[in-house]
Amino acid sequence: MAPQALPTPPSPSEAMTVAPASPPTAAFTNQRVAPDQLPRLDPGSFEPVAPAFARMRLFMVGLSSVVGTVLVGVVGLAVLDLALPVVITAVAAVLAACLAIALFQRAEARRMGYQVRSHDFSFRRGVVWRRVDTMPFARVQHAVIRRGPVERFFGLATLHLRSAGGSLLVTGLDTDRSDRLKTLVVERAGALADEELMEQG
Amino acid sequence: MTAALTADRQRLADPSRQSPGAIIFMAFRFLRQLNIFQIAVPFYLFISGRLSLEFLGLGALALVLWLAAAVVKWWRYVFWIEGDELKVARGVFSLERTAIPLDRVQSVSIEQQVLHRLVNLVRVSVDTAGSSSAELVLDAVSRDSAEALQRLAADFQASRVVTTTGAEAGEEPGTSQHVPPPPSRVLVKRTPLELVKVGLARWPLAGLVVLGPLVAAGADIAETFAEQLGGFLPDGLVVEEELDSLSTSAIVGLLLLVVAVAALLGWTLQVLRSILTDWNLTVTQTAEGLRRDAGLVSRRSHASKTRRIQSVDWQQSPVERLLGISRLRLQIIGEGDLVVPGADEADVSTLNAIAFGGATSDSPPPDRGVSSAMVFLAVRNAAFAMVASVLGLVVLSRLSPEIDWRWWMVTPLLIVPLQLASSWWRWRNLRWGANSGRIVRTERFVGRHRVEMENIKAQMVSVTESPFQRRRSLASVTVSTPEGGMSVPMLANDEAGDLRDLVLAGIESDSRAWM
Repeated sequence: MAPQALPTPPSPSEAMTVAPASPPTAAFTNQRVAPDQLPRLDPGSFEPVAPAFARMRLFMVGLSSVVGTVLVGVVGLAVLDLALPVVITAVAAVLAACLAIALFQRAEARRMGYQVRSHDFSFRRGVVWRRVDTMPFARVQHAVIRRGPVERFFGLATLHLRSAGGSLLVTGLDTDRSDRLKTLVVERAGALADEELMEQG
Repeated sequence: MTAALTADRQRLADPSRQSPGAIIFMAFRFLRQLNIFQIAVPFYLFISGRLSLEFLGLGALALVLWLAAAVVKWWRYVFWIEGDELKVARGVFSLERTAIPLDRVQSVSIEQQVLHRLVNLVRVSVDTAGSSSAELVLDAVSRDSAEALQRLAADFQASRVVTTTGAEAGEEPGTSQHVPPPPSRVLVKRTPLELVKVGLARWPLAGLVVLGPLVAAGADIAETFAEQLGGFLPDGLVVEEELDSLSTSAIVGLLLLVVAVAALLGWTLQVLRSILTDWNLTVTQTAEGLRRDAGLVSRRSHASKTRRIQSVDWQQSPVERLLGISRLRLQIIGEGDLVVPGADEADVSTLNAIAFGGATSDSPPPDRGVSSAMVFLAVRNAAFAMVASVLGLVVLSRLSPEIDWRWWMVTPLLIVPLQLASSWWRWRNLRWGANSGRIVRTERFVGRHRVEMENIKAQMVSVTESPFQRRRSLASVTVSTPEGGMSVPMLANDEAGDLRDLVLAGIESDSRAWM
C-alpha cells in the first residue's frame, strides 16, 4: 500500500494572523493552507561557514602531526630502541593518517553550513554521517558565543544555541557574523516569547 | 477568594521555619553532597583502627559542627506568602532571599517518606517553569502547611484574571475578577487486587536482578563458610560430584525447578513492589492539572500542570493484554513522570483526553510505515557478527590443539534467521503518523508500544543520514523534547523532509505556550 501524502501543514504566516483566543487552549484555530505556501528547508540554500574554519582545522591536524611525529620518533629511537627503518615507517604511518584526517576535515568544513529562515535556524554537518538540525527561534532558551584561543587566532567564533531539549553548536562563524546571528536569534526569540505571553493574556 | 483560601493565606502569611525535624533532613542532605571517597576513607581508617585518639576527637568535633551547622541552617531558613509571592529567606553569612511568584509555580509535590511518617511531616517540592528540577524544597513541614501551599498555587494556576467590560454585571469597566477553579475529580484509583494484577503482569525475573549481587555475595560467603567447616562436612555434600552423578534429564529438571522457584520469587517481589510503591494509587484532575498520590510506606504526591506533559507513552505486554491492563506514562518536565500502571481502556482514554486537551488537531492515524531496508540492515549486521564469530572458532580450533571442532559451534548462525524473523516482524509493525498538530509512533513486537506528542512540544528537529541510508536515499528524523522525544527511522528522503517541515510548521504556527 503506497503511503498517502502527509497532511498539509499550516503556513506560519497564515496561522500567526489568527486572533488570540481566550482561554488560549480552548478556542484555538489553526487554519490550513496550500502546501506550496509552506517554505521548505532548501538543501541548496545553506550558507557555508567561514573559509578560515578549514584553515583552522588543517592547522590543528598539522599541529597534531608534528606532535605525533616527534613522539613516535623519540619513543621509537630513545625509549624502545627500535631500528631506524621501523621508526621511519611508523612516522610515515602517522603522517599518512594525519593526511587522511586533514582531507576528511577539509571535506567536512566544506559541507558545513547554516540556513536562517524567518522562524528557525538550521545547521548542516557531517561527511559520512550527515545531519541537519533545525531549531525554531521560539524554542531558543539562550544563545552564547564562545571564542577559544585558536578560534580567536583565526578570527572565528562558535554560536551555541540552547533549547530545553537539545542544543545547536554552530562552529566556523567569523566574529562579525556570529555577533549578528546571535543578535538576530535573541531578538526573534524575545519577540516570539512576548507574543506567547500576549496570547496567554 | 474562598474562605478556605483566605485561611490558607493567613496560615502562611507569617515567616515561619520548617519543623525542627527538618534539621535531620538538612544534615543528611549535606552528607549526600559528600562523595563516596570522602565517606569511605575516614570510615576505612576508623574500622581498620588506624585513627589515633586525636583524629577521633577531630571527627567528634566535625560531627558536632555538622549538627550545629544544620541547626543554624534550619534556624535561618524561613518561608512565607507575601502578596502573590512565595518568599524564602535563607543563609547564615550571606543572606539569600528568593521570591517565587505563585503564578509561575508549575507544580507543588508533597512526599512523605518513612522518616517523615514517624514525625508526621511531609517534604514539599516546588517546580517552576524556569527549572527542570525542583526550584525549592522544604524538607519537613506540617501536612497542613504543605497542602495550604499546594491549594494556593493551584488556585493561581486555575483562576484567571478576567477584565470585564462592565456592561453585563454592572461593574466598572476594567475591573478584574477571579474565576474559581473547577473542582477536583478522581480519574484513576487502584484497588489492592488491581495492584496484584499489575505485579503479576510484570516480567518475574526482572525483580531478581536486585538479588543478583546478594546471590553472588552469598556464594562467596557460603564458600568461605564451607572452607572453614570443610573438615566437618561429610563427603556426600561435595556439590561437583553430586552434579556429575546426575543424568541429563535430572539436570534439566533441576534447572527448570530453579527457574520456576526464581519466577515465583520474582512474581512475589513484583507484587510486593507494586503494593509498596503504588498502594492506594490515585490520579486526580485538579485545578492546576493532574496529581498522583501513591505509596504504602513512603507516600508521594506529585502534582503537575497539564501543559508540562511532553508526550504520552503507552505500553502493553502480552500478559497485561491478557489481563486487560496497560501501562501509561505521561512524560513530564521536572520531577519525574506520571506513571499509571494497570490502566484499562477507560483510563487510557481519559488521560489521553486530558494530556491532549488543548490540542488543535485529532490524533493522526499511525498508517505510515518505514523502509524495509531496516530489515536488511539488521540481518546484515547480525550475519556479519555471527559469521565472524564462527570463523573465529574455526581458526581457534585449527590453531589450538586444546579446542576441538564441534558441530554446535555453528549454532550462532541460527541467530541470523531469528534476526530476520524478528526484524521483519518489527518492521511490519512499526507505524507512524503525523498531522499539523501531532506525531505518533506505534510498535508491536512482543508487547505493544505507542508514543504520541504534540508538535509544539518539539524543541529541535534533526534529519540524519548514515552512509547506509544515503546509498538508498533514506534518512531518519528525530524530534527532541526536554524529556527525550521521538525518532522515526528509515524514511525516504522526501518523506523525512516533509515530516521535518510539518513538525516545524506545527511549532512555528502555534503560539500557545509549550510548557
